[in-house]
Amino acid sequence: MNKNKLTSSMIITLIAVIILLSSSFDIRFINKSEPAFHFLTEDSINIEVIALFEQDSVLSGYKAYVFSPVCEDTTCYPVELEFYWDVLGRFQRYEIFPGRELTKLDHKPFTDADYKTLSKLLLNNEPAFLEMKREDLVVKVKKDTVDGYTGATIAAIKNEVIAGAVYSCYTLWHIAHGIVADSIKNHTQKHFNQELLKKLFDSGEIEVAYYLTSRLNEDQCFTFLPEIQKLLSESGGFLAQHILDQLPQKVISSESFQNSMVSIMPNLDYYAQKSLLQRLDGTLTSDKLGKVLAESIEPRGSLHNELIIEIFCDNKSQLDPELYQTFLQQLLTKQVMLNKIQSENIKELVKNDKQLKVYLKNLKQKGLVQ
Amino acid sequence: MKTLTTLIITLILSQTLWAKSKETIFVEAESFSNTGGWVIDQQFINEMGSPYLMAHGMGIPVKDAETIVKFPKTGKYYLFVRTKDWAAQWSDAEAPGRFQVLINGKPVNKTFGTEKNDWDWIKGGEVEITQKETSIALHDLSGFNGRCDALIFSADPEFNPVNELNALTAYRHKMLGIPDKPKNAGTYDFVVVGGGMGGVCAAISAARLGVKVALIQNRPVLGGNNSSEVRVHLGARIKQDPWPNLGNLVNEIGPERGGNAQPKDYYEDDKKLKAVLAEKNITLFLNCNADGVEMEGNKIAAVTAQSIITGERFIFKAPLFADCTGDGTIGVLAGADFMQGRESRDVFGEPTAPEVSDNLTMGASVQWFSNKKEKPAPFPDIKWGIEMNEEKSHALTRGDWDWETGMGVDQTKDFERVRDYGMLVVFSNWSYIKNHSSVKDKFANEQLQWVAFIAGKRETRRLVGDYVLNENDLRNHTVYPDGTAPTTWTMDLHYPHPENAELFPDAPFRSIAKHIEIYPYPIPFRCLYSKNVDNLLMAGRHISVSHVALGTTRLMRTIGMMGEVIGMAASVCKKENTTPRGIYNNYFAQMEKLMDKGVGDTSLPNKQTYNLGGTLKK
Repeated sequence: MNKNKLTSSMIITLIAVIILLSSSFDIRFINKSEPAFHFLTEDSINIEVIALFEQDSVLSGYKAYVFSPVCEDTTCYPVELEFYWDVLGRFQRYEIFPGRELTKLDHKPFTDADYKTLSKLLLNNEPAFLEMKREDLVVKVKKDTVDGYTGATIAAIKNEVIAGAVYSCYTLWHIAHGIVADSIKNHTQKHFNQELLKKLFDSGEIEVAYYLTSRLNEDQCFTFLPEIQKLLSESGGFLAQHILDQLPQKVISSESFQNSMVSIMPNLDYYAQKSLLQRLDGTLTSDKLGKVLAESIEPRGSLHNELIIEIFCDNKSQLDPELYQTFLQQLLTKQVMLNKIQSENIKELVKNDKQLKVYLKNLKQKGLVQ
Repeated sequence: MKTLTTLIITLILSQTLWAKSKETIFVEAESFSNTGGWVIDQQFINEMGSPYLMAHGMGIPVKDAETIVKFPKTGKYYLFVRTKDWAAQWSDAEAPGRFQVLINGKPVNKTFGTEKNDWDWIKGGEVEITQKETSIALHDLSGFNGRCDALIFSADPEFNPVNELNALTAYRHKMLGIPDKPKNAGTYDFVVVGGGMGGVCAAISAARLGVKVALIQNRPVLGGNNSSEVRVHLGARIKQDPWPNLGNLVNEIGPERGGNAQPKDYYEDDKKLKAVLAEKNITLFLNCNADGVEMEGNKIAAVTAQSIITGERFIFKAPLFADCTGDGTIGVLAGADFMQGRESRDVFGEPTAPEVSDNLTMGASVQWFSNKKEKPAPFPDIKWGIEMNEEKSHALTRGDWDWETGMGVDQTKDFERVRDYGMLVVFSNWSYIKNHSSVKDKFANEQLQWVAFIAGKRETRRLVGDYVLNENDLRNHTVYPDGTAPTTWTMDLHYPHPENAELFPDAPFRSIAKHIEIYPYPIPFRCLYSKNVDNLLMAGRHISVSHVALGTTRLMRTIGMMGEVIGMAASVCKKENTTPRGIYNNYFAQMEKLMDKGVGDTSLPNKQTYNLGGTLKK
């Protein structure tokens, strides 16, 4: 190895160490491991996945010994290495075994650049060959053509794979990103404990938040309600909507959750608000939140309005009677046009209440009720 | 209605149009009964007045186009051919698009396509017509895009044809007997102009919701940039929050394989056509170029259109219209406010906008590819191209999206030049690679298999809606209650490739893309209808967005979903007898329920998994 190569190898090693140390869930201070599950690759190779723990009880990731035969053109040879994933089944890195370096077509050993290419490929969630079948990776070319290939890698994937090891790349990527990812997610759920959940919430990663909020049980949700509320207040994209769609009904129905939404709801985006409204139908118990809902009625016709009207019409016995006056006053003030079903529901709502009937009369006078 | 459509299309396709006035006979090239290997090009009607025939042979002369012309009498005629030397603006060398006119198989003593760098009548001299029914043919000499708009045979030695566009149009109509009053093509609930992904999805969506639709497309195929004529694959994501059932229709009609500049069958033109023909509520008008509107106050009362084959004119009446042209053609004809070029930073406070506004737009792509043959496939060593050398040339067998030209050129007014330059650089590069390059031996068996002659546009005009979506909305994920189709692609803006721009400072032809990732973002409904034309919906690259925001909304799966949405809007407009703005103000809950349900087949597996693009949400 010349001096330049040595330096570059040292830099790569250094970078790898830095990445390793800075990763949230990487495998540090591992002091326990145990078999987790087996899975079959697309080539029917049985692979055992090992769960890794830190501090004995906190799951920190997974690894697997991967041994698979791969055929490049007409030559077949074994590929042997170790894969590492985080607790969400996201591929992290691979290690090769001393003396068992990877090889390409005609048994040429992988170069440093090839290892880097493989690493980059395995970390890529959407490689160019994602939707391709194995047989589509190369085009068959006659031997007497200029390139002299018997199978030339198609142009669309050329930049991402290793020439002479395209099937290895394809096979290994599918092992790293295949069924194992979902299996790891499921297995991790079995090992949820306070420490792991805290660590996951603290990561601040949107993908982790999606994962967690889809899988927490009622008790875990109540335990981590402050963290969930923080996500609702601060998250980007459609995470808040997702959380509100996923939270167990018992949590949504609880007064503590509903009261906490008094300050959070006005700042949620429209779609998250809509999800919350859909979940509150028939379960609204917080008068404070009810007031927020009544006041968020808007003049423009929208599903948001329809949901609020439904909630009030469905919740009569559970809320402070004064709230209904606020609600009906809002319909009047905002001049909300009520459709036939809504009109019927409002009539039903006020039929035994003299005070509320006055509002209905006013709504009729303004032509808002059908 | 299906029968009527078939009848109209059959008439359009079967009728060779030629006309005589006294002793002068006008023959439209695009109306030849047999167009042979020539293609009909309608892209520049507004620039030069007509569709025309073009010999797009990629260096191999195409088969003759031929028709029978009935002359009132035999004898001497003076021939005029409307054509141009398309490469003259870049080269003084021998013209590329040379062709002859054959009369009963014999060439007249003149080669056309060799003079004038703009469209004009070229004298063909005296010709002797010996039979009243005479075969007239266009005979291509080069395979390099010779073009012919029309021919005139006049027995009058003093005859001098007009060339000014308005006068020429009037003359055409007179000679072809096209009445001033267009034929009634029917009254509909909803007229959709443009048969790209936006228009097709708008038409199908509306039709499935009980709306009677006319779909007008100015090409023989549907799909627009995703058709086999342009060959850009679909991009971005469907079935996203907050409306995971938007995109089901895109999934139904979208090609299953991805890839730009791939073989024709990748683009599944038939799938889109079959989907449209399966809808009993749609009447489809192919080869029909909408070019006029009739207004009643701030509303469009009718759209008028011309057959690109016969020149016949049609009128389509409806209470509601959709501009899915990509160029905002109908909106502009109707007086809709529009934007063009880059807005300055102070207009929307966008960090990516330039400090001073300018006319830079993204360009149009002329994609291409070659195939390896069994034997060497020579290519002419052309002299009329732009100068190439080892540094300037690209030793490739495929030209993807980044073969992009026309940035900064008004692609609504000067697009023939843009398209022609796009082809010119492909031919220049290929000629160099095949004949001079240091790697020419490696390319010996490569033959140009396909070069687009319908260029893929990215950006021209953007119509102003009640809201203009901008970069800050997308960056900050400021979503609005009237969100519709989620846009997921990055804000992907194209610029000239720095190295290519250095080598070709006057007209670079390669581009780069700069990306800003976003969360899936529901495009406000207010961006999908015109601010000042009350009954005009829109779906396409020309919706109400800033130049920067266009970077994400211009992807075709997103545009298809916009189509789904405006088709739904058409159904609500019909049901409630309201306008698009009326929906926003009073009936948006109905839109939300429709978007929640979707109009596409939910049972199909999602086949739209290629070219998804990066997004901030996994």
